[in-house]
Amino acid sequence: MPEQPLTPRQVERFHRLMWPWLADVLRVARYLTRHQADAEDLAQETMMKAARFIDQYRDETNAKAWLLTILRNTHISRGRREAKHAGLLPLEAAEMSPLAGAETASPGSAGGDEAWERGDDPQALLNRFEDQTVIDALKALPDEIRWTLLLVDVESLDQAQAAEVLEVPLGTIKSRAHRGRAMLRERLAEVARKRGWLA
Amino acid sequence: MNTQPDNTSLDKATSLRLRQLAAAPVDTTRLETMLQASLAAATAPQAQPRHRLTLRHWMRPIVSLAASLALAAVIITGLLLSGQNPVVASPIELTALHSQIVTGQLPVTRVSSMAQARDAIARQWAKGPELPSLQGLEVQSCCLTNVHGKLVAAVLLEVEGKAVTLIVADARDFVMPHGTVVQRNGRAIVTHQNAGLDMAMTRQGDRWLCVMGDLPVDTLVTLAANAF
Repeated sequence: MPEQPLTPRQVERFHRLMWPWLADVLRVARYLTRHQADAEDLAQETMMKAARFIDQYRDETNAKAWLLTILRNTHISRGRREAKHAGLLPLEAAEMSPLAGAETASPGSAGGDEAWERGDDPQALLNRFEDQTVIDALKALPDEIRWTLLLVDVESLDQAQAAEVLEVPLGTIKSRAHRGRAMLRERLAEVARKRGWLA
Repeated sequence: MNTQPDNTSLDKATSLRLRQLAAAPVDTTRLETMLQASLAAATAPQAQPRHRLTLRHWMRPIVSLAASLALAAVIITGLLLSGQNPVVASPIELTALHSQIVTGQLPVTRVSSMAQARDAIARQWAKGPELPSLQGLEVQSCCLTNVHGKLVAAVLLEVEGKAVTLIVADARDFVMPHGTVVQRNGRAIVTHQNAGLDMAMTRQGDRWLCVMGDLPVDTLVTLAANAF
């Protein structure tokens, strides 16, 4: 069934309230996809859904959190569609399975944090990594952990907003953020060792 | 039970490093072009089914080419006609332009300040009049287009929560239509209303400008008077 055309009021509201977050949506989409073109497709689909559902948006809602919720749902739907097409298990289901260990791994279990704590200035060491290396490490994390770090740390949503976007309790966000940062450090520690920055 | 603090110094350091990723610039140019095309199609009376609006990879060059050709056509038309006689700044055409910009039917460049808008317009129209440096206004986008064959720069602003379009052109290209004349700051401002939309026009030196939007006419007059 053809969709109803957008009204000028809807487009004006979309432009005024949602367009300012375009770069943020594209940035997060880039961290979820492999190629820039895929990120642009995902961001475009997200923004068009936002335009179509703009009447459901309430002014008191955090617009960025609202858009990121749509982005997440769109990303999951796409993953399911592609997995179904390829006859595979949906990506997020595979990543959240116990075999993946995403929710059960204990932080610093590989000794990563001990290595970091031996260093003089962990912040300075972390700042030595170029953005792309940090992004690669982030992309290698399980989906829900990556989402938590994207929302809480990269996009600076407060933890309660992140909990709403991801539809999980606040406590889950706190533990995922803590665990996710440790997992990220472990991955970066491997790079740091190869470069001779960590013993 | 988890005995580790949930906000250790290492966590803070990691969080800070991740936060720095958000400071990296994001090029939204292509996405903006794609979105404008989708919005324009979705606002048309007979919107196409959604799957036809999704711009797959193979369509991108076509969209980019179409946008480039449209811009080139605007500039060429403007240049060809710029030496000819001035035209009346028709409130009907200006209202239509405002509507096209607000409803996303024209390809625009996303900007967040008047300085960025000035740079974006200057890159496309080096010999055009300079945009005014309006302070304290929220600037959303800008574009180069034409009204009755005359090149104009348009900037979409948000004033008191309403969309306002500022149009700037070469004063030699436009004659102001008869309207109600208001004096403000020693400047004569001509006001008009069309289709429920108020507008305020004025000129200074080589610049002609018009401010229009769903705001009280006095607010638009003040904006026009301060726009130099």
